Amino acid sequence: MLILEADRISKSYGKVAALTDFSLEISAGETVGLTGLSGSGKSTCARILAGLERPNTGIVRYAGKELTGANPAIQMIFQDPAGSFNPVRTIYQSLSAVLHLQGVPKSQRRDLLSEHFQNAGLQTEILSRYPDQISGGQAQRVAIVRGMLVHPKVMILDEPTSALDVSVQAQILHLLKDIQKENGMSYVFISHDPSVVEFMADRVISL
Amino acid sequence: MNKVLARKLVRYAVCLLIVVLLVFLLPRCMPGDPVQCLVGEDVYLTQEILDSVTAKLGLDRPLFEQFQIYIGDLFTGDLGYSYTRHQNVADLIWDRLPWTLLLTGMSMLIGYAFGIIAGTWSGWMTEKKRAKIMTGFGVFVSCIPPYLLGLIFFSVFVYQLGWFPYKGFYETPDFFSVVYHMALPVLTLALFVFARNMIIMRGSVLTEKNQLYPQFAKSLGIPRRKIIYGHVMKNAILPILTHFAIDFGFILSGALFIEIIFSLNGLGRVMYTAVLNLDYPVLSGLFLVIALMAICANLIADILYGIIDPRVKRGDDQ
Repeated sequence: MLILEADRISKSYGKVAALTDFSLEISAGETVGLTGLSGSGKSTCARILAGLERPNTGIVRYAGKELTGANPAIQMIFQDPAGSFNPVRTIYQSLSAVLHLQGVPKSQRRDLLSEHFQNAGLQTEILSRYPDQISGGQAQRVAIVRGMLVHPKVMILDEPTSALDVSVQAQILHLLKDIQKENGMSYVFISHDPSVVEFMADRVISL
Repeated sequence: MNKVLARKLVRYAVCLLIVVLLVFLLPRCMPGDPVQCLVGEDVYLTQEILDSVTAKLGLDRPLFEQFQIYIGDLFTGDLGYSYTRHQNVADLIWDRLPWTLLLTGMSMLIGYAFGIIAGTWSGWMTEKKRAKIMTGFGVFVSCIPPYLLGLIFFSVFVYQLGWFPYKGFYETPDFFSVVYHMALPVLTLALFVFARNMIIMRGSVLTEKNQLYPQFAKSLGIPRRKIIYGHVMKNAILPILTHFAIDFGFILSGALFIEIIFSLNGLGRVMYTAVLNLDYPVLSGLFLVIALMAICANLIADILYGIIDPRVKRGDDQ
């Protein structure tokens, strides 16, 4: 079943063309790898697929309907995990805000987060820390947990391991594989490292 | 009281001590005889009278002893005596200070509140035409010094349109009289404060907007209003706090000029006449009080910084 589709999308910033006439189809449970040189439009493509930006031309469809903005069913994980958290809020405050949106009562939030943290191999002490007080690997795991809290169907992973050292990279990749096995969600995996893309993706598209 | 706050208080106390020392030393470093300066150039006094006045003022004693007396007087709230106004300086300042604080406080409250909100909006909506117009307006107004803005407003709204009174209040007025007299001066200074803060806030929001966390929040389905005013604005407000501490003295000096233009009975007019009459005790007292207010503004900003951004507090603790 087709879950996410990009039909001849283009994006330019002023006179600079970031992405030209790009098309993509992703089925449920599939992982599509996206590779390319720096400046080839990988991140622009990721933002458009996540609904964070609108293409100048072309259309993005999620579950058959046009994607006109951000949709919680499509989550994005960024290269800089710590930067994707509000720096003046503790990890608990950031994650609790997401659960609040989900309608989870305050009394249940800590227990629920502890459970998610255990599954992601994280210690619950991290909840009381600020983003700059945790390591890159921990921050990326927390970012994945945060993305999972809204039960997404598609996850756009924009170079999720390129800022991490090799051993942590492997842990994160395995964590992502486990999550996919458990939830059957689709991934768009973006990386400039062919070996990483090959490990994760069912098929690879080069930009 | 925790250690960090105590350390900050000590730092500001040292700063205040330096200000007190400067206020004490400056008039004594000036050329000429202070007593002759006090009575005026046109008055001739015999040496005997001059010596007796010098002794009465304690100016014949060693400098350290004079400083001890000065500090002792400060602790009892004695800022000296104005010979041109024949009044205690502390009483004079205490009498006029509330009007200056009212003008400055109201202007800052209005200017900061609207400046922060408008700056956040124009920083987030940079592509909108209205945001561009507002930014241009902010840059234009912030380039006009408060006294010139005051003169322009006085000319237009008082002389031409006659919407506001020509002069300030010289007796204890009632509430509506205060509002009537203060409205235009407050709006003038508030507009200046608004413009400066709007520009700073706009730049700060632009920086925060391009961080990853607002995009992540957006992808999680957090409403835009909440992202802007709950996340981005709170983080972008830090430069405004720094600006508050640095700019307080500047705004206060602007308030003093506006008081002169609109004939308000605040410290501005006191300072103006003191400068014209070379009333050094009044000028010294005013300098001390204004410096004290500026130090307090810095202390407040310092404490608020730690509350808003826990990273600062952590840095202090370490």
